[in-house]
Amino acid sequence: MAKKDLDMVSSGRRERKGVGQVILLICLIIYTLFCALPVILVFVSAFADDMSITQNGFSYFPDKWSMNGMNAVLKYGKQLFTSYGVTILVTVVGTLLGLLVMSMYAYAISRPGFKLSRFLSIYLIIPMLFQGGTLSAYIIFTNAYGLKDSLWLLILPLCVSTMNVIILRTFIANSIPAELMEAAKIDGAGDYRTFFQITLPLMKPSLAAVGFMMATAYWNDWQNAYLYISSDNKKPLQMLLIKIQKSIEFLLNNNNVPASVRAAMGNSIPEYSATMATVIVVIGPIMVAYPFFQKYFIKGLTVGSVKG
Amino acid sequence: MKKVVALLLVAVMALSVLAGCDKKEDTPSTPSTTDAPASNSNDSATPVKISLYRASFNTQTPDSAQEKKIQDKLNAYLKDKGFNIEIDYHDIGSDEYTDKANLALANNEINLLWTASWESVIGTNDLIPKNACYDLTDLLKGSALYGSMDAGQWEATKYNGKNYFVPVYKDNVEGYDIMFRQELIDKHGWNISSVKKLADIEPMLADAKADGLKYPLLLQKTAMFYRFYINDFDFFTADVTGNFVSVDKAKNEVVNTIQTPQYKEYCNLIAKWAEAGYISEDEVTKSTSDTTTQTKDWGISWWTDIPVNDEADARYGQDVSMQTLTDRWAHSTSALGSCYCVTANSSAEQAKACVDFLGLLYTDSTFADIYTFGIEGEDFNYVTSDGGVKKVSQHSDKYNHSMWESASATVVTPVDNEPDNKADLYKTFNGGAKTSPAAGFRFDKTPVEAQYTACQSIFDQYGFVLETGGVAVADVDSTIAAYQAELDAAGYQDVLKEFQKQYNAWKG
Amino acid sequence: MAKVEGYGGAEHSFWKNMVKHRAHIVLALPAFLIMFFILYVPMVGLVVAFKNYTYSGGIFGSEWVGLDNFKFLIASKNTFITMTKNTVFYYLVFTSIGTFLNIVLAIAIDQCVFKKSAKTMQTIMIIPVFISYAAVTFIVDAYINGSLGLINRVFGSSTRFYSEPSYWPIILTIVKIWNSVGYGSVLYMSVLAGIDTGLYEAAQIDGANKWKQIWHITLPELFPMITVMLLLSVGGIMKSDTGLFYQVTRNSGQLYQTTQVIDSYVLNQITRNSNFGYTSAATLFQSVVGLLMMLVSNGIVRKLAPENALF
Repeated sequence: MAKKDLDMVSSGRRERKGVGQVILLICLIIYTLFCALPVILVFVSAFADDMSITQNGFSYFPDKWSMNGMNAVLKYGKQLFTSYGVTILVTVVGTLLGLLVMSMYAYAISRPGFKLSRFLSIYLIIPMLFQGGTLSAYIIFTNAYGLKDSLWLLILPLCVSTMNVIILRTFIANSIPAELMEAAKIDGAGDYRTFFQITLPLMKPSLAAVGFMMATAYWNDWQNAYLYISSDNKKPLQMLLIKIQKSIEFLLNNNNVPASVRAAMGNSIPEYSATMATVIVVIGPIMVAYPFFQKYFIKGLTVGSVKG
Repeated sequence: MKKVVALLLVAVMALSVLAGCDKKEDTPSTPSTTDAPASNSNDSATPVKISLYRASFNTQTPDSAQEKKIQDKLNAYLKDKGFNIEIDYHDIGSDEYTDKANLALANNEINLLWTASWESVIGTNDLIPKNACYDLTDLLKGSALYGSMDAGQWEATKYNGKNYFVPVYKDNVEGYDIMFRQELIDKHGWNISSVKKLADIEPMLADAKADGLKYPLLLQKTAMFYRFYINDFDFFTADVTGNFVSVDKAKNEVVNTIQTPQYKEYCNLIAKWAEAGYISEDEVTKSTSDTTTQTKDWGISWWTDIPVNDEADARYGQDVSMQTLTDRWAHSTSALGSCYCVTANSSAEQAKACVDFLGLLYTDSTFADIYTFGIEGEDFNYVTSDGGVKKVSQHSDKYNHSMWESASATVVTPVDNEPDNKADLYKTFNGGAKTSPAAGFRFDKTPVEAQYTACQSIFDQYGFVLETGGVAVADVDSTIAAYQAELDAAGYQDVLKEFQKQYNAWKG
Repeated sequence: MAKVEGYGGAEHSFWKNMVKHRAHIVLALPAFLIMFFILYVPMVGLVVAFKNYTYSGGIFGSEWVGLDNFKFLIASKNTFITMTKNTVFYYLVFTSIGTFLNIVLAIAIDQCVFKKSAKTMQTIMIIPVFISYAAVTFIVDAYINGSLGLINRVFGSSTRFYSEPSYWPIILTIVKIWNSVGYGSVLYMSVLAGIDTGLYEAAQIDGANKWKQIWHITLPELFPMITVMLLLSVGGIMKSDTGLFYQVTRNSGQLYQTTQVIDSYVLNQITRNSNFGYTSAATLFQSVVGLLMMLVSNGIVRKLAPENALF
């Protein structure tokens, strides 16, 4: 029945590909270009000769091409694969774990009549406002928990976040009809069954959105790795790349580093192109993986809506 | 949903296996959050473990497998020589060195730390007020380490009359040159030896501008007052953001640098040159970098004087010539361009082990070479120069250190592209320097730290802009006045008074 | 019922409630524990805001200095006023424009009939959020550099953007929009995806046109999420994205008038002196102000639309 309704609506829409829709499309295209042009510049500059960038500025049509920038990154060879693997592992595990525990928490605090829900909501919000700081976190995580150089320190800090839990809770409270859960109760389902078999499947769009945001956070995260990870086989991708950017920046801009050191490295520190190259390396997998999330938020690409 | 949970369980299991496998990283000195320093067992058979932190200054991340090999080789060598010491070696990239070392210090993970006066956050001036260093004065007496450098070095690096830092002997005095591109010298026939003060380069700047160069004068986005004027002032911190107080060398007293005639003269000169187009906007907007110096877009710049100025040719990829602008000075911080310290959380045993380790490093050439260059055959080879001198040919990407941040110039074998008599060159270089009246003075800014920090922010806003040509000539005086007013509002007078008080007490 | 004699009425019902909701307690437990160990335990570090931190003293051994560390923020009144003003200003601008554009974009993509194109365009729109600020700094420079920038080359001008503070609120806002709107709209799109299509169908039958549908159905459906997101963001009113204000502006003092925010002032302090007490005091200040703002806002929402309040 849902599908038929969908067809009816979309066929109604199909008939109305009028001026309004075309204008809308043009506006969207303009905004897309606004987003894309700088990204294209990044791609082009990764393969441009650094010296020509320094002298003539960035350009969409550089006069000299060079692989120096990409090589600065590809030099890492095997380490790149390992880092990709680490990042993917951490992202997948972290996102799944986080979605699970956060949706359970969100469900619990959304239950009307549960006297602890206000306390748990406040408990959830306080850490968003107050943080102890890098220093105490470092000392506690490495000493008290003994987690130095452990992948758990890449996963756990990001897996529960106030904003995501609140988003899930809001979705449960507003977009999932209470009647469904009442009906389940009447049918004799216990609390666990109600959650796992009724509520969770209905949360798909918000799980996809939150999942996407978490995956983004994990993919972009380098600060935790920077502080805690030293083993090569646990270095995530962004950390590796940020190190390249930072060390180039430090060496080129710090006047205290002696001349002999820089002379020894010759003229081949490709500051601009290497930075751009690191961006390409990061973005590649995203563009491949994103459509998986996307089908949950663009209607018409998936069948799945709440029906009575 | 069941599928997801199953997937999750599998992933978690895989993860714990992975995480569990490598959890062998423990630090040798037991970390503690209390004051009691960790002490190892008194059993003389077990070696004393010291944790060493040093920085790696190249664009590669240090290769951990190679490091481990070198660590083992160093430990084996120590054992051979009869030292009951074991090193836990940590090599950290320069980009994250200060952050990581800072946290590791707070967590009592370090025993022997490499640092420098110019390093931020964990620089020598930062460590002392925070009680991070072990007093080595007594341990040094009569040790091999002490004997490896002359007493003058040790004196110059004292804080509050005590030795905390072990300097690396290299170029230990400060002096600045004007640097000219050889191509332009040849083209215009410039007589660079006639340049005695900064203003003298003006006609040459005009030539460079006429050539259409983008940066006739390249300041390398540095506010150069605190370097060009060291003949007059001692900026005892070598921190450009603090150049608003200094010691006037002639009067031997602390002055408000901003109000001196030299500052006004300098700012006016720079403003004039900026308006004439000799100084580009890129200086004040920080758009240049070392890559710019490798191009042919500039005419004249500056250079820190070193024993072998020819290194500049290799660095910039073109011929350049130097003309001295300032004398060479020994300042409070110039001997600490690279040094080691023992951390306060180390036990007496560990401190002694560190001193012994450094002693070996500073006297045994083979040991120093392993520490600096790596493993012979893999990372470097010994070659003989034309002059019959033994040298090192480095060829490894995996382990890349240099003498200046390793051990003294007198003990590390020179690299093949350096002169044979490198150690002697340093002696001559350091020997001809003048000593500042304020050498040895250390300013403890803790009583006025909040005001000092606020003043540094004012420097960013006004001082930096004035000194890099961001202000029009007509506005220089009013800007200096505004600068002073903002500084005063930030508590500058307190800083000045405190500084004067400390200096007069030190002068004695 | 006789079993529970001796307990007061309220307690009795509280524990009974706990027993009734025991499954919910169990469900909440994992996240509760994770938050406790990862977020709550390190909060002991907050005491450093009131101490003069030394390496030898550590967190617990360093001496107390009361409110001295907060002087670091207010030592220069002008700086404090400027940076607070800028922080709040950018918060208001980014939040209002950002939220507005997020919603508009989400609705636009949702309404767009050309599904395949919408899909591709949306994928492109989220890319900017993955570009590190180091690269963003170069890109911004590529466009607005005084001599070599693309804008100056295309229009033949030589505006020195980097030297003029007044351009920067606009530049930073544009960069922020470019970076975050594509990504931020995803959340609202997920809400839209959860709207019952029957509602639209019914409205269409009743003769409502597209705009009426959006006004009467879409926006009210989005309202809870918008409210909640705004409430959550209020806690961060004193915080800023240092990537934008420190890196993209190159920490240029000339521009401080319009670009210095509390976080960039603190970051400068961290990179130069790293006084842990100062950093902690600044963070505590930001947190306390954020808390107050959140309490006030949440109170207001509770009066007007109680089901959307955070707590």
